[in-house]
Amino acid sequence: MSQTFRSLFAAACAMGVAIAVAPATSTAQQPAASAAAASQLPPAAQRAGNLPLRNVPCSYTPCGKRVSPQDGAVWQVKPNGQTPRDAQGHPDLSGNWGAANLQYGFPGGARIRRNGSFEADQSAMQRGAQWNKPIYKPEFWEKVRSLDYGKADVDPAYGCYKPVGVPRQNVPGRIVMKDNQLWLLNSVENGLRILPLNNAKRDEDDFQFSTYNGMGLAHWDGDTLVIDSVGFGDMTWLGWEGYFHTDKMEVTERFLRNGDLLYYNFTVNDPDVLMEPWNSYTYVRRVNPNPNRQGEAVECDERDLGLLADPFLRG
Amino acid sequence: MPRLIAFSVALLFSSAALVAQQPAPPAPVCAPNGYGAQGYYAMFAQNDDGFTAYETGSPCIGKDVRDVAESIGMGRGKVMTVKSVIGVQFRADGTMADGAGMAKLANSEFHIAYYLPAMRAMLKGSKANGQPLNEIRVFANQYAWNESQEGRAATAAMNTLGDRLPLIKLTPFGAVWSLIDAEGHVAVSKAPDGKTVLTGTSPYDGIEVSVTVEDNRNHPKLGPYEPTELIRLPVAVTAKANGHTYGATFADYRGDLEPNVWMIFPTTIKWTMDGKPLADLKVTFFRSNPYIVFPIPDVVKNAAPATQTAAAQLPPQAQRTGNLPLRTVNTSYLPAGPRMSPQDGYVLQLAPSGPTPRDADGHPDLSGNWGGNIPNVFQVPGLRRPGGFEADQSAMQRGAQWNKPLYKPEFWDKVRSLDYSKVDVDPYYGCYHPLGVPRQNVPARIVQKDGHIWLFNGVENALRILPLNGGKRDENDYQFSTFNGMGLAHWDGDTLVIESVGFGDNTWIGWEGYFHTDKMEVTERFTRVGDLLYYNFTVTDPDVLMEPWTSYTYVRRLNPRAARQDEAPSCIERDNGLLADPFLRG
Repeated sequence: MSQTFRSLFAAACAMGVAIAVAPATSTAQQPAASAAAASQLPPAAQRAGNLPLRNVPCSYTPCGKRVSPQDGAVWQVKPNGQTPRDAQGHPDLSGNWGAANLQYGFPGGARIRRNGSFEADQSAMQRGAQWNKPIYKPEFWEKVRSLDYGKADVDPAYGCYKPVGVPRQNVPGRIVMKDNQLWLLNSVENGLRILPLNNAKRDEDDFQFSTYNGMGLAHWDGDTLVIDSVGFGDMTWLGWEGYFHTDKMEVTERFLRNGDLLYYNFTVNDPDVLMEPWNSYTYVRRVNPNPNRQGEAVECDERDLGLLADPFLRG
Repeated sequence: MPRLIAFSVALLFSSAALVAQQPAPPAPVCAPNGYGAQGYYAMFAQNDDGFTAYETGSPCIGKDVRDVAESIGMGRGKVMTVKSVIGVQFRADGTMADGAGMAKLANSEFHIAYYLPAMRAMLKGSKANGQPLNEIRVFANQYAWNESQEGRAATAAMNTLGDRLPLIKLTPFGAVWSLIDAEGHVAVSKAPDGKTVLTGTSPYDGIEVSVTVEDNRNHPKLGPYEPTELIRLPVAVTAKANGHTYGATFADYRGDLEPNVWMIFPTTIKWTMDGKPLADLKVTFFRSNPYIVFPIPDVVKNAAPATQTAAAQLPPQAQRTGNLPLRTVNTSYLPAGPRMSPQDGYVLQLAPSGPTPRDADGHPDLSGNWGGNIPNVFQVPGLRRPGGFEADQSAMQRGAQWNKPLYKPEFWDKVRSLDYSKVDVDPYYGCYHPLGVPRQNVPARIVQKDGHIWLFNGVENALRILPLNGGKRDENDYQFSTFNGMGLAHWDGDTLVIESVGFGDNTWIGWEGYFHTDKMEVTERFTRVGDLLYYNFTVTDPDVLMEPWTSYTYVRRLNPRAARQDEAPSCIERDNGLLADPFLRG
C-alpha cells in the first residue's frame, strides 16, 4: 500500500509540472454514456492517477473530467525534504500542522469581494467549493438543504462548548507521536485525542459511547496511519453544509506524511442515512516551522456570538 | 466536573481496579521499641482532580485508642488515618480564671493546631475586676506571643509558653493525639467506676495524658451513629506538665455542630489546674480542620526560642534528615516542627526504580502517563461508614493540608468563609470551569519531543504546549487573564521550571478556599527520577499572601499502560446538584 501511494505521489508530482498526459481510462465511476468529445481540454482536466489517500480518480460523483478546487489545491502543493521516521520505520507525523504556510489568500493581496459582505460571501464560496458531497438517501435531501439554509444556531457547533468533533474538525492542528502514543490536537474544546499505537482490539463497549471525537483505534497500514472510530453521538455534523449523521456513524481517518506535507482524508459510514460510505476530499497541510507556544483558548461567551453572525440565517 | 470524584473514589477503593504497579512498601510493623518501624502512608482521590496523602495508624496503636479516635471522628476508616483532625476552631461562652477571679467569656474563639502544636485564644468578655476583656493569646511550637488583632500587632510573651501548651490537651482531639503519638506505650487501666483509662505520653512534648473513656450505648442523633451503637467517648482528661496537673471534663457531645461533616465535639468543657477551676466553656460553634495559621511575628522570632521538654525518643518518622525532592526546607509547613506531614511522608516512602530516560540534549525526558497509577497499597477496606462519602472526604482532605498558604491576616476569615461555603462558591464547581494552574497539580500525561513539552491534565482546557527553551518573557503575557497562565519553560539542571503569569482571578490555588488575585505568578518545578515524577509549585501573590507559598512536593509513578485518553463526558449542570449537597461543602 505504501509503495502504491508513493509511486502515485511521484506521478502526481510529475503531473503538477503540467505535462500533458492522456487521462487514464478509469473504472467504475466513468460515465456510462459518452459525452460529446471536447476538442481540447485545458491542462487541469488532463490529470491521471489518483490523489493521495484516494483510490478513486475524482472526489465527487458522478465523476467528470473537471478537477475540484480541493483536488487542484492538493495537486498544486509539493512536498519538501525527507519524511521523518520513528524507530520502527513508520513516518513520524509529529509537527505543528496548523496555520500552515500554504499561501492562503489571493495573489496580489486581493480580498473578499466587497467590504462588509464577509459572512455572505464566505458562505457562497464555501458551498461552491464542495463538489464532493455525501450521498444521503433521497428522503433526506430536503432535510440537508433545510439545515444548510437554517438559522445559524441550527448548526450544532454554534455556541459555547460545542465541539465540532470528528471528522468535521478535519486535519489536527498539532500532532506529536512518541513511544507508540499519538497526540492529536485540534485547538478547540475537547479537541485532544491521545491514542496508543499498540495493535489493541476494538473494545465492544466502545460502540455504546456517545462522544464528539469517537472512540478511536489507530493502526498502521503501510505508511498510512488509519484511525477507526465508533461510539459517536448524533450531536455533530460532518460538515458545515448541514451534513447531519446518526449515532451509528463510523469514521475511518487516514494520515499520510510526505516530506513536510500531511495528507488527510476520512470515510464516513452511516447506512441509516447515507446511500453509501462517503469518502471526503483529501486535505493537505504543510508543517509549520514556527514552534509557537500554544496559547489557551479564550473563554467562550454566548452573548458575543450574536454580534459575530446573523443569528437568523446562515450566510 | 468536580463531583466525578464519587466515581474515582469508588475506583480507588475497589480492589479490582487496583493493579499494583509498584512494589508495596513493607507491611506496617510494630517495632520492639513500641513505635511503628516507619511511617505508613497512602493516597485517596480528593474533592477535585488531585490526590491526598494520609498517614495510616501505627500498628502499635491499641484497639482502645483506635475506638476512641474513630468515635469522635479523628479516626476515619479501619486503617486510614487516626489523625484526621489536625486542628479545630470553636467559640464559647463561660468563665475563665484570670488571677483576680473568674472572667466572663462571651463569644470567645479558640484556634488549635495539634500538629504544630499551636493555639490562638481570642478572649472576649469582661475580666473579674469588671474591665473589658479583649486579649489574644498565641503560642506556636517554641514561641508565645500576644496579638491585639488576629494575626497582627504582636508582642512577645515567651514566658507564657509553659502555661499555654498544656491547654491543647484539654480538648478530646488533643488528648487523643497524645495517645496516638504514644503508640505502643499507652497504659490501659480501669477507674473505680469501671470506666477505661488510657494513659500515654507523646514523645513530641513529654506531657503525660490520661483519658477516661465512657462506653456509650445511648446517644440519639449523635453524628452518623445508630442510637444504640457502642461508641467510646473521652469524658475526662488529666495532663501533667510544668509540675502542674491540668484537668478537663467533656459532656454534651454533639454531632451536628459542623453541618455535613461527621465530627463529634462536646458542648460543655470544664478545665481545672491543680484541682481549681480554670475555665468553664459552653461551646456554641465548631469547625474541624479550618484554615488557621500561626506565622511567627518578627518581634517574636527575635526573642530566643523557649526550650521545650526534650523528647526522650522520637519515633522513626520524626528522625529524618535532609530535604525532600524539590524542597530546600525541612518541612512543608510553618512553623517547622519535628512532625512529618502525610504528604512528605508519602513522598519519602516511594523509592524510584529504573534509570531516568534522557532526551538528545541530555535533559530528563518527562514523557509518560503519570495518571491513575496510585494503587491502594494497604488495601484499605473503605471509607469510615457506608454512605458517608462526601462528609468523610472533606474532613480527611482538610486534615491532610498541613502546608497552608500564609494569607495576610485580614483575609483569614475570608478563606475560612470560602472553605465552608456552599459548593458553588468553588469556582471549579459547574461545567467548563477549569481547575487551572496550579490547582490542577501534576499533569496526568506529558510528552516531550522536538524541543516542546505537552502537559495534559485530563480536564477541560487543560493542555499546555510550551517550547522547552522559553526564551524571554513577552511583556504582553501579563495582560492575559487565563486559567493556566502564560508559561515560560526552562531547564534548571535536571529540573524543568515553568514560570507563569497572566492568570485571571477566577480560579483557586486549592480546594480549601485558597483564592488568589490576577497578579498571581506561579513557578512550577518538575524533576524525574527513574519512574517517579516530583512536582511542586510556588505561588507569589503579594496583594493577598504574606509571603510566597511553596506547595508540598507531590509525586507520581509512571503508569506503564499506554491507555487511550477518552473524551470527558459532556457536563450537565443539572447533574451536579445530584452528586453533591449544594448547600454546604463537606
